[in-house]
Amino acid sequence: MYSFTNYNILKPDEKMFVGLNNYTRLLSDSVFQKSILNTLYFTVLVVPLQLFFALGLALLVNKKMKGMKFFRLAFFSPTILSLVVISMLWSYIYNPDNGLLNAMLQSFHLPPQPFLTSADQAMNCLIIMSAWQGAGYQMMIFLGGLQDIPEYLYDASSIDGATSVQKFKYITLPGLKNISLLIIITITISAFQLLIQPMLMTGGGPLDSTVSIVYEIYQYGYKYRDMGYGCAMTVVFTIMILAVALVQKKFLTEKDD
Amino acid sequence: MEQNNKSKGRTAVYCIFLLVLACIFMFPLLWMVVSSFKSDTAIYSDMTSIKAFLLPFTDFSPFNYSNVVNKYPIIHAAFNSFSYILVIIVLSEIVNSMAGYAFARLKFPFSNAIFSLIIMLIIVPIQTIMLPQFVIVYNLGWVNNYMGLIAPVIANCLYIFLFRQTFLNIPAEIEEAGVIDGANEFVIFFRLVIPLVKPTMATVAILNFIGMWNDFVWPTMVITSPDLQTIQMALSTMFQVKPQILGEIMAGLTIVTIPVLFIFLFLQKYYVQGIASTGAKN
Repeated sequence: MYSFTNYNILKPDEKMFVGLNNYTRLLSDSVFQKSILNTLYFTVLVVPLQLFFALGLALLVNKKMKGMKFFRLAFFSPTILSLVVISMLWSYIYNPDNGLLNAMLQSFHLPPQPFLTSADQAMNCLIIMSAWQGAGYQMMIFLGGLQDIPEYLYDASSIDGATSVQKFKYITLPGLKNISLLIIITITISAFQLLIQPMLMTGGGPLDSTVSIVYEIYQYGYKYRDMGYGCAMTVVFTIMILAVALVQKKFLTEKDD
Repeated sequence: MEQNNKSKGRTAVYCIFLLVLACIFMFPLLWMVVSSFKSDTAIYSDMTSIKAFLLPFTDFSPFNYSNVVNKYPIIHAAFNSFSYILVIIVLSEIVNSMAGYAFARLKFPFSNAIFSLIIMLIIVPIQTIMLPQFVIVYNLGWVNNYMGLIAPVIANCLYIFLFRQTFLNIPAEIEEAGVIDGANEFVIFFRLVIPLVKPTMATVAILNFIGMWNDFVWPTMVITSPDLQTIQMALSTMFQVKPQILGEIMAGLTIVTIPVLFIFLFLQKYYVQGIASTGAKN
């Protein structure tokens, strides 16, 4: 039971009570501020992207055809890989000199991209990779939700002459609302936890463009052994997550009429 | 009849479409496995064409695998991981099932409040407690010791929740019959009750294994000597060694993925069930 209750014990007084020193230090730490921006950027893009993938894939595999199981597994497979494996694999895919993507681009006579070595593209690369990895998990949850929507709603609307688009808009989407909320919150919380990808793939660079909050927590708390400071960051991190989760919950359930 | 042919055609097209999509989606994995069987020159020269994804029938080279196993302590690390994960699974089953049982059946003061707390703690991200947990483990002298890996993860809010839900769905008559038969020792209860929750135990075991097998950050913080490395740690050291032989790295990645893939393919029923129940928890 160690893991649960104590993230407050080590607030800025590791060996010596330093009061709010750590927090004021945070306020002027530009790298930490960058990490917040980066993490927010990552989250804001990853959530819709992964949601889109997951929902799209779920809709595609929600047919009662034999062999569907194979496709579901195929789309789900990236999620069982460890982040270490995925980070290493995609480092080679994204490698600007002899990576798979640039090789493919070249064979189509398109210009090679700097990917992870460019401050502009690096984060986007991580975003796409992470959305790819996580989509399968949410796809399964969406599938469950889709299958919970009663058939007769669709049949009745067919009788009324509804088109597939209308069916989607008025039956499918509302039926998925609760699940979507859960999924959005889940992806958001996972997105905030971004750590392994920058750690293994970019080391936070280039130019600190891929530094995430948890990466900073790890650096200070573990590598530099500056526990007090790291914990102060952790507190900020936790407050942010809670705030975001609550905001999402409020904002997305208000639409319930 | 004409409609039958039409819809058969549509189904076929749909399948082909999905197949293409699946291949595109899985291209990194395909590339990884295929490349693990090639020599490095072959990998680099194949990259610009579709051959990157095709198994090399002419140039099949399993040497990457033997090289990897010889050069890097992958087997040793795998053994390490298997051992400590096994301990985790056993302890976790015992502790979490008992806790779930207690919450489902026994009435004790504040049980509802505590359980609500447990549910809320499910969503606490591990990073929040990562540092304090490290300090505790450090002060207990469990750094570079498997206790540091095992102890913090045995009790798990999610699994307690799963067990409790399962127990709630089992009628109490079976236990009452046991009491009537004079069996009021906990040991006998566990012979009666535990077999009823085998699916949940399977799910918990699988989720535990996959979670722990893939875990990287926490073991990196706790384990400092290369001898005790876990499998993911050993894998990441491959990444830092130069010169990098791509084929060997691919072989390493594939090796590390095999146990999880194995569980996934053959035990997916329980795995998917576990995911569905984590989805249903809200």
